Amino acid sequence: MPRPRYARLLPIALLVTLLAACSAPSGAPGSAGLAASPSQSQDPQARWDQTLAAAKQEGRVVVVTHTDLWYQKEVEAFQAKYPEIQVEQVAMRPSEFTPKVVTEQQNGIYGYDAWISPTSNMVETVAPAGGFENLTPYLILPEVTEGKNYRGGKLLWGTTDPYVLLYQGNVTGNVIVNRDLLPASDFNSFDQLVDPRFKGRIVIRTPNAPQGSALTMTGIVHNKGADFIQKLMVDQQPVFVDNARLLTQDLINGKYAIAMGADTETLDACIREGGCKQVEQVNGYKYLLAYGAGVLKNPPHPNAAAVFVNWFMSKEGQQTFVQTNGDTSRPPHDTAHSIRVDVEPHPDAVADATMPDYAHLEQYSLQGTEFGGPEIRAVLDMYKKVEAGGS
Amino acid sequence: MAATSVATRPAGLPLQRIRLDVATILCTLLLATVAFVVLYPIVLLAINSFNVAPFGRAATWGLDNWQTALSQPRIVNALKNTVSLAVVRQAIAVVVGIGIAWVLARTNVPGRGWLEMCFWFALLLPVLPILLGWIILLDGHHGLLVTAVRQVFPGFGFDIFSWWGIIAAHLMINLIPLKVFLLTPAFRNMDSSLEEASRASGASTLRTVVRIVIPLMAPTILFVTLLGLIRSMQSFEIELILGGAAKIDVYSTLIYRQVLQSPPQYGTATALSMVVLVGLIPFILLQQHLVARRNFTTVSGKYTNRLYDLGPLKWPTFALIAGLLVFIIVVPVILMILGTFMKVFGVFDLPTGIWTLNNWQRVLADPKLTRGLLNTLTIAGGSMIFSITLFTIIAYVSVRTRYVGRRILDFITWIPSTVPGIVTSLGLLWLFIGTPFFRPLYGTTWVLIIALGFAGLTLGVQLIKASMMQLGAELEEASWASGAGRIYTLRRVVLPLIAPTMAVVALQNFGAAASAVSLVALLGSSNNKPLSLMQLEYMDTGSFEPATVLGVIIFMLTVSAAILARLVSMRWGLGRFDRSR
Repeated sequence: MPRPRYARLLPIALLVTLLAACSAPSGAPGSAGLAASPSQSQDPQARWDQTLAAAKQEGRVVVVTHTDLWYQKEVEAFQAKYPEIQVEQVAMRPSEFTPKVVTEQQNGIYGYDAWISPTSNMVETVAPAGGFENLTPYLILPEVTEGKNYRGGKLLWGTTDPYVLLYQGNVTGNVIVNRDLLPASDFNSFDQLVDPRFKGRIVIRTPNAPQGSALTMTGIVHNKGADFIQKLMVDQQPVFVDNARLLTQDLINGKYAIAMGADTETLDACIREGGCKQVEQVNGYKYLLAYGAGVLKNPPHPNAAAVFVNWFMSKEGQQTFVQTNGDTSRPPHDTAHSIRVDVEPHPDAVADATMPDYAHLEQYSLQGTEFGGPEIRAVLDMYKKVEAGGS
Repeated sequence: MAATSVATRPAGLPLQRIRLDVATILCTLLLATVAFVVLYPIVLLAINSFNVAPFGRAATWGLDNWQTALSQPRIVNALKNTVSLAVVRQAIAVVVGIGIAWVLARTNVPGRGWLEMCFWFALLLPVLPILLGWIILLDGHHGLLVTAVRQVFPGFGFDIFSWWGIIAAHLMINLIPLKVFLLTPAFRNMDSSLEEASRASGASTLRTVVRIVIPLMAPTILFVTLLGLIRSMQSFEIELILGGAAKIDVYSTLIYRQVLQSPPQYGTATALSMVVLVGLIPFILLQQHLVARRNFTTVSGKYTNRLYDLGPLKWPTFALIAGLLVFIIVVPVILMILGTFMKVFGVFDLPTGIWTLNNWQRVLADPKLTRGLLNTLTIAGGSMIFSITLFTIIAYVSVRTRYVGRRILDFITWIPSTVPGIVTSLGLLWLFIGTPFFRPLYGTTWVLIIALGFAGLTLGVQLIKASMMQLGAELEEASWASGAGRIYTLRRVVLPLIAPTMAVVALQNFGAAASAVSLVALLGSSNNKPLSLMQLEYMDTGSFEPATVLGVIIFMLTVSAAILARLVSMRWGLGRFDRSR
């Protein structure tokens, strides 16, 4: 019987698919040794020269980042500075990268060098699972190791042990109010959130993970105690909504009067276009959201990892960060600021007061650090109780 | 009448004696491989549900996860809601689905080929933007449609954030299209002489459908209904968004929330999933038992495919189905496409105007777009080819051989659909990292092709199996009598006859693989990032509108695949004999 033409094409299609699929897996466990450890040499310049030479020898660095566009620009700037070190960027959400990297490490796979991102998952899950290298030996350049270069006068760590070094703390804490429904004369302070008049008029993004609403509540816990959020979540009978976008649309359309955990990107876009005049931000108790850098356990390219982290934490790296953050985001650019004293923040960050007072961090709930753990736990546990129907 | 058509079950076709051993070995290898890939992750998950240590720490064993899972105060309400929502929406969808599938496959309704295609397209629409579009129309507080109707009928009180809202959203977004998608190929494979005999004996059209068509379609209908019920236990996207505000919990949202917590409670989520798995096993066994007892052959050597003339009802029937499609596909697609041109999706009051081209410009200028497109084509195309080959072999072994383990093989194919994907993805990560055979593939596109291919195991195998059960043994026997071998007969006789079903399965897998997110994020690498992950990245950074643009691009890609699948199945399958289409 004659063979149909498409039957002959099938093996070709299969072959094409197979060839296209044959991209090699990235990374394999390799040597974890730095070319120059502090015990071998005390001269930072000599150590740096040795490390840089070894990094060029390694020829590659695998950097894990969050998905924001500025990370890509940051990596490109490093690539331009060190063309001999090929950078592979793995852009993933921390919540997705965390189970992946922990499972890989438990099975002896060490494919990544450095990780820069918001630090909640780093601090809560990966560091306790032994997923990071002690960062101290990797920090070589004096401009990176000297505390005087940082606001607050010292290096700021997210963990008790030196695993995750912070490069930014972003301060915020607000609820959004629909003024058509609730004029400023009726509501203008966080303390009024538990006023019985507003019972049933508050919408909260489900606080089951460290995102907008749960983090906002850590600021409240820090200043007013856990009883306040119990009253808010139980007595005030708020509506819990999982989708931030939907919650924001409901607020704009007047379905709810007060929203906690709204999608600020949507609101900013609406305001930029001259709309959403009826919504207003009411600032309240602040929390600090940390962003940091770390070197993952047994990096396959330890010297290249060291070069990357030193460059990233240097004045040049942080200036690039502030610049690319501002360039790639839509206004207001209030997250474009750095912990380094020699890096000027974007004017929006100054205007919106999103840069913390690093000398007096005790006034904030420090989220994304080990020290803010009890407060976010209190919020998440309280929601679990509410969800279970108890108080 | 039905008794003459629904006779005793024929024995499986005998394997030739010399090939028996080789065949048995090959079948056993197949069984072992499928069992390993399906059961290994689930067994690991089950074991780890007793690990009470935080994720990533040294294991500590205990019953805490199970206690937490089973003592959830909302579990009883969630179960009640799950069952009531599932039963009602499945009942409506099955009745409507059978009706439409029969009309499209067995009657001369005008444009039936295109109507069927529209149901395919509806199934490929991305859920989130479509749901948000429906909310813009049907929100009880400010929905455009609800507000408009209220101006005419002031007492109108429908709100999509309600029990009936969830039912309506499911029916429109996926259930009715899915039922039509799955049932129509099976209905098309029915020998029209059986219906004609019924009518010649004086039976009405309705009686013919109820007494002849439906019993003959029983394996497919049973499978589609059971699969629908099982999927109801997993479905969470619509319930999470619509049920959250209305305080309507379902079982799947309880599981989802466990994984979503920080840190994720995989142990508790697995414990909850195991309860579903165990609870569904009797239904799977019952389905196997019912299907095994009867003969469902509808395509024999005397197969004819004459269409029933609807007469004057032809155009009203067309109008009815087309009207339904307006709500199922036209309105959602318009909303979705309009959304990509909006400055802020869902905000209709902006002084600078609400429309923009920026979202499209931004996505089309993204340097990662071409790479993402190629990766999507590779992953979805590879997964489609892999799955259709594997599923056809499994279905063939289950239906057409006497292999001793065929019932076990068939049973195993049901398992993946009983455990939510959000839970099994971690198990699959363990599978691909923890086993020496798969480990070299980890991080490559191969892993994604295999994992996404297996994700559609239940639907694919059961659908092809149901289609194969419709084929009479004499078709193959005639081929063998003419000197053709088993493989040649499979390729030249069996596959062309089940081509429409294979096209549906292939398309379903292509679409699912093209839009898969969590599995791809967990098993992939930066080299093989598809469009679906790019879409997620846009969403992450608050760029919902550009994300919707990518949703439209993925949709168009899958629609192209649907048209291709349609053309191939028409050219290769029984459709080529249907000149009236």
